[in-house]
Amino acid sequence: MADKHSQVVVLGAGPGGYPAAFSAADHGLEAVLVDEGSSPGGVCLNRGCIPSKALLHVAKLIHEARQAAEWGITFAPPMIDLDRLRDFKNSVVSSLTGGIEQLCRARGVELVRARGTFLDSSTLSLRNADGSMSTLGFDHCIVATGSRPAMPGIFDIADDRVMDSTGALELSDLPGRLLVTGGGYIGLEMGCVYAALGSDVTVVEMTSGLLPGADRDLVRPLQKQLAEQFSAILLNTKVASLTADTKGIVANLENDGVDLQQTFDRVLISVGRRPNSRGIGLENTLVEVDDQGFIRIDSRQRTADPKLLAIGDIAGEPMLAHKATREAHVAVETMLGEPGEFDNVAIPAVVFTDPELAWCGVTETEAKAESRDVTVTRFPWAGSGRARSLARTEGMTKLIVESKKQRVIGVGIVGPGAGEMIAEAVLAVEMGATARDLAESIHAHPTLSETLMEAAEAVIGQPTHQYKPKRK
Amino acid sequence: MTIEFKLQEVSEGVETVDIADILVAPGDAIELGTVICEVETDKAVAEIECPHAGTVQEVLVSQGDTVAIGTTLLILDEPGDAETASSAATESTPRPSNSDSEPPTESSATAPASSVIEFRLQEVSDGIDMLDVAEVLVSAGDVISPGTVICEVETDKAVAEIECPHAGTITEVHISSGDSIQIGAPLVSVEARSDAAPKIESASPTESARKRPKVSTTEVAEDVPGDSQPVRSAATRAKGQIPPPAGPATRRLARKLGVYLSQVTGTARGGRITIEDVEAHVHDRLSGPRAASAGSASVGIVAAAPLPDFSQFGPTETERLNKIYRTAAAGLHAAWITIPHVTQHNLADITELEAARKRYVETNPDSPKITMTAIMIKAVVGALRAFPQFNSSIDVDAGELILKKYFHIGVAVDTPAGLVVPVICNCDQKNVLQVAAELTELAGRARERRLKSGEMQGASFTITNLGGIGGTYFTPIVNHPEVAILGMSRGQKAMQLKDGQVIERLMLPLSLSYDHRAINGADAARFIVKLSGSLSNFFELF
Repeated sequence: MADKHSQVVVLGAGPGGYPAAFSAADHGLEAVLVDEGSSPGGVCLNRGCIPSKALLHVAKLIHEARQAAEWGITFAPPMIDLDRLRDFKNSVVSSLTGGIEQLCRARGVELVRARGTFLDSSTLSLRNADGSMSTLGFDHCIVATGSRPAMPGIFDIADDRVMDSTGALELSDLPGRLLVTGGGYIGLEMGCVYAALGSDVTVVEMTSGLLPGADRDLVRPLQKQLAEQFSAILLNTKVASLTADTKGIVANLENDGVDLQQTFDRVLISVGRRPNSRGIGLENTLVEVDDQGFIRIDSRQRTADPKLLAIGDIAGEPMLAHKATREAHVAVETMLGEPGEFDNVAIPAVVFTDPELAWCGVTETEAKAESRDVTVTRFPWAGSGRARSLARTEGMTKLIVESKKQRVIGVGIVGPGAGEMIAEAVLAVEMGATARDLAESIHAHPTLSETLMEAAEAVIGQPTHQYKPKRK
Repeated sequence: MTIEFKLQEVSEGVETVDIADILVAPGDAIELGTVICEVETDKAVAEIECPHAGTVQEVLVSQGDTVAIGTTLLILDEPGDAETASSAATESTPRPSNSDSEPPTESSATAPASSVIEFRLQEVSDGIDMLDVAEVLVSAGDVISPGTVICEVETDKAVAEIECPHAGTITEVHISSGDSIQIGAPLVSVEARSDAAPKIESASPTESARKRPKVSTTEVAEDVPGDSQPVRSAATRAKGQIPPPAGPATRRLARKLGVYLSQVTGTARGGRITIEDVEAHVHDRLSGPRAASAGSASVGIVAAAPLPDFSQFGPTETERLNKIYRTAAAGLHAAWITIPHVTQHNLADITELEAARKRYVETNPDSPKITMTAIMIKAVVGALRAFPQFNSSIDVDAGELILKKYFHIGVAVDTPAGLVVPVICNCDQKNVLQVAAELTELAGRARERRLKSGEMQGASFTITNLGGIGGTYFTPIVNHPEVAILGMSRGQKAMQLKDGQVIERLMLPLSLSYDHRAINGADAARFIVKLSGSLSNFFELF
């Protein structure tokens, strides 16, 4: 018999875990939230989305202050007090994690600081924060243990100048030269932060383009901006090895057979994330784990173990906080016998660089690969009054529309504020809206959101602020 | 395990059918719903679907046979047997791998290999929480596959088949015909087939039910048959087919009601499916003919069959219907389909009334022409006052009857251009002379097609008089949104018995059609009796 028992235990208090515990409690279930971190919120709040956004906000401010010189407003070059910047970032994090603790108390969700390991399908062994051990039994457990940055063996040279995203967010110093390994969203976001603060940033990406998975035409304006911010963007390039040296970390780069040796003060490894499915005793349950380490689930978050459900990064791609939160609600509905199902059509992806890049639904690349009959329209932000007033006309809004019924099945946006704008696109795709639905909804003027309306107008006719002679 | 598949009822009253064609042969692997043969009744050819999956072992009928309902058509090998268990679907289903190693913990006692599932009654349609069991179609020991119909239940108005999503052997039947049961009541216990994919039967918080009495105790596993469960993992998730266009709230409702969105017709722009579309679909399914559930795709309004080429029968000439005809046709069709009509007939004795009318008309040549229709308008107003539900409209969606405090009577007028219905307003405030004058004037303008559209709107009751032409009874169609219409035929002399003496009386045939949703039959009879009585004792009219 376990030391303690709860109807529902949620293992992991990230953006999947804590909403799951809250929702269970809100439905009258007894819920215990177990997390090994010193504060709840998981990677997202402590070491991911939130602190990086605080720093990216600062980076954008620096860029804009610099750009203002073109409009006749000249600021002195920024003085950077790293300690205060770090404090700001930490205060953002602690206010949010504190908020979660408060919400736990308000809902009667018990937050247990412990590392949980499954002993069997109804019991967790807990190693508590004070080192003591105990057991916790449950009727059902929602596994939400998340993921961690991947650190391939060749980069793991036991030198703290080689960092993962967690290390980079700690902002322990400002490296003169920073190597970012991996041109995905984490690498680019952190690269932007460090570049704005004054580091020389080199990005190395193994494939032929930044942000694999995003449509190239959306990446292009971003890449152009980044090329100005970074000292180098090396595509089709591999980091073959890293060696620690007193002067720095020596990186051996391979590009099309050309070897290149460069020395950096710090190296960020951002080559992806791995699910945390090892070392938590899943082998003692009936849960099945696939070759990539994800727990196998069905559309209702059920695992092969009748007692366990799984949500978030551990339950599969895309490893995004908002996907985890939605899955949390599905999992609780499943436990309650309600008709919840993860049947979402649009999971937005947002890269918080400057400009931002956001997309949802089917990408143009996917549509082409699947030979779907689609119409693609693009509205360049040069035609947007709002973009002009911001002096940010590099942006673009595009719609991927199913040709026959003109249903919007995908949207891509690049430009400042794309991350906020994608919300409307998600609603349109999720609701099965047609281009006409978007075109005939009134969009406030002057806002960037009008570009969605105009891109939709291009599907059914001519957008007001763009004219394209019809091709025969 | 083998299953005998018997011929089930094809349509009501049909006891024997001819086998027109056999579509399977021994050795064929068939899926649930495979059409195994076609049968002919006196009226139609029907496809017979097999509700079981498996391999055909033997076909017991041949083409041309006349067979009775209940005859065994074929014998199937159940796929539940271990050696046929591996299909792609079951392989890709998450499954505990406890078969090859010692189960590590006691929790494996709940492993699905031997689990008994209690299949409970789930919601049949919104707002129905009590049902009667009409017929139980399985018994203990039966081997069922997912989709087997366990029983038929009756709600207030409809009969629905309850399918069990589980496969296995029925160990217990908890219901019998005639039982009244609640949603959530156990129907049968099914011992899951050994190869069935795991069900999270314990994922339902049965333990916690004490704390949350309101939460359904329906077990999670009952909702979705495990072996058709799509596995979503990192690899499969991203590349799904795009589902039919419907918002999350609509999709949730569809899941709750067990509706496949791919079968629902979307009415919003671009074919988007709304919540109302899902509700309409369920409504159609529940109210449609029972045979429809056996497989035919769409239920609802049946379009007229295409016309034959009449020139093969003889010469024809095509005449374009004018707008009046086309408008009337659309309205009549809609009313005929949407309003449950009943027509109540009666004979009114108008001997004295007609004599008095004639006398008045002869002695007052300058007065407006008093017609039987004009008198009937006044008589109807009296009856409407006594039975206000006849002077109403029904709002089915809102579940409301809208009673009118005004008496605007529509009168159908036959014109060379078609049927029109001018309206005489506030007939309660006009005497018969005023009504008669207005009627003459309106009818005259109607024939000249000079009525304004406003003069044909707002009627709360309609009268149609074919008495000038002849005939006895007919069944007029209610003029929606009204709920009743009175048809008058030609008055005819008839022999009546009075005090043992045969006397001659003038009898007027009346036909009252009404919307049975708004008016019940007894009230209709009372209305027509009251109306007829007021024509016989006509002093109360004036």
